[in-house]
Amino acid sequence: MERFEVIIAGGGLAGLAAAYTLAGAGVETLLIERGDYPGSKNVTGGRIYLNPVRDLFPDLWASAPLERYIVREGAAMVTPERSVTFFYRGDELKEDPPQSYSVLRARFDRWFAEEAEARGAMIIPKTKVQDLIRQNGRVAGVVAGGDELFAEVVLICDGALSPLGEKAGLRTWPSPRHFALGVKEVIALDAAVINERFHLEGREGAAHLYVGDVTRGRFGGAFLYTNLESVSLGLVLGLDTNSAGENLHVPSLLEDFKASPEIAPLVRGGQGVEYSAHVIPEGGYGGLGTLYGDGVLLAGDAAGFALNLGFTVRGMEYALASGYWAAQAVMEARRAGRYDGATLACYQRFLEESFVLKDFRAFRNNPAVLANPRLFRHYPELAAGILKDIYHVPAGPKARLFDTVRSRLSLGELFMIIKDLKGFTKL
Amino acid sequence: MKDRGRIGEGDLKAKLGWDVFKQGGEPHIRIRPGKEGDPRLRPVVSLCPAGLWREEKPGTFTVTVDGCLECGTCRILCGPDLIEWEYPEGGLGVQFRFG
Ligand SMILES: Cc1cc2nc3c(=O)[nH]c(=O)nc-3n(C[C@H](O)[C@H](O)[C@H](O)COP(=O)(O)OP(=O)(O)OC[C@H]3O[C@@H](n4cnc5c(N)ncnc54)[C@H](O)[C@@H]3O)c2cc1C
Ligand code: SF4
Repeated sequence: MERFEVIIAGGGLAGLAAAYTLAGAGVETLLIERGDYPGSKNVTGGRIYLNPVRDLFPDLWASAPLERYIVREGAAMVTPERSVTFFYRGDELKEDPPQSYSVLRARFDRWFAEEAEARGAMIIPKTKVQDLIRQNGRVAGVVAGGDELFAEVVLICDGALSPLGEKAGLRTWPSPRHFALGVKEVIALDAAVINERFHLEGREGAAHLYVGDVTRGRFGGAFLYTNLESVSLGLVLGLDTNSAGENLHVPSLLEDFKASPEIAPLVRGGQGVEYSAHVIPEGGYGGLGTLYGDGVLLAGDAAGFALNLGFTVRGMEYALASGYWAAQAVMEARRAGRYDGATLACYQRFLEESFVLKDFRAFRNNPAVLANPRLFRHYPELAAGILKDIYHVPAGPKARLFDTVRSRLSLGELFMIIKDLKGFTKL
Repeated sequence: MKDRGRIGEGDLKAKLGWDVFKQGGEPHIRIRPGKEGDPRLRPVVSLCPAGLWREEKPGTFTVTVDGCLECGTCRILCGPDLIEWEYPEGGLGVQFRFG
């Protein structure tokens, strides 16, 4: 009978962060990953913010295979005929250490796994955890590759769907309301071409976000991140959007976005090298389930730790940090010599005290506020309409600026805006 | 955004051809016997990013797993009453090189 102190199911950021932390503290740790290598199943949009997690892994970042540090932010509201875009650049974004990077997970996770191995973690790839072993009402190990493997505690880090979390009785079958679908292409482009098209130098990077017609006015948005020698182009769509009328055909939506005047010139001549898709937990605070039980902990997307902050999705920092705090909880239990739920409950406390659950509380109204359909159709149309009038010069006299804008903003419209602004104050 | 046609089937196949798939094993997604005609399967036909769900005859749905990106959309949308959904066995299925 094989026995380990800790078994981790899933080698994404959450599982790897836990393995790296535990192995570094001398805890016997086995991580099981179903892909050919950690990272081979993992999809992200591509932007990671380092400040919240930098100190949790102090030795990690200097040699990490991150892509470009983001110095240029773009945001666009898109309608079928026109779009309004603004760009931001600021000196502080160029300061060292940079706050955020674009990242490709197959590269990053694979490297992170090697770092964890170098600290003594055992990583078995190409092996799926098929089931959990339960003994005396507690989780006592896993069944993987046909073998029974026992452990003091099992960390479930199997990502957004988390079939293992269901098996542990910590989650139920997910509801479409709490999830979005992300689809993405990686398009290879010369580094020099990227730098020229996006006004960058060296390893500087750009991040662009798009709302409006990219999702045909439904809940979601699109993104473009520059990598070293490629761009990540994708879109995110709430999963119950198709209940809102005519069904959207997702593969076509991404093609249309790529062919749009906003994107086509930026990726011209590029070669598609990968097409990927993955669901994203977006239930926010209200979508979180139970995080621990007897002999078991849940971390990362499996626990629901991803946030939709309006334009952007954040999940990677939460995966890294929850993996780290799960490891701390395991070490606390190890000191106590007990791995029951009551002892592992310190995990919840650690998360409450960290940015993870503080963020989730602070942004708990996001799902409700962002469900406002005017955000994705009406406001892009309104903004683009106002600018169209402003930029138009007729044959006759041109209306005064104030009158031009006012003609689009009836009293009813202003009233709606004020109402929505009240909602936005909760974001 | 003027070009609003559907992506051709061949074009979507070509796109999936960019990816590395390791085939083998039993199909990891199945419609439960007798549920092929359940209208609750319809939304996933247009949402599946790999175009693997089809309405072959009006009102009858099918799924194939060749080219499955393992995104999980059909698992969430269809639910356990209508489909069986497992991850492929270890080392099989899509293997991302960029991610
Ligand atoms: C399109 C898209 C865009 C996104 N954009 C961003 C962004 O810009 N910034 C951001 O911070 N976040 C973003 N996110 C969210 C972010 O990618 C996730 O929150 C993050 O990847 C979660 O990490 P994780 O380790 O919890 O899960 P995952 O990365 O999904 O890892 C789970 C791992 O478990 C393995 N596994 C699953 N089941 C088993 C099993 N039974 N046995 C063995 N192994 C198993 C999987 O193979 C995988 O390696 C985005 C997500 C998507 C899909
Ligand atoms: S998991 Fe995703 S790609 Fe695979 S069949 Fe279901 S919806 Fe399609």
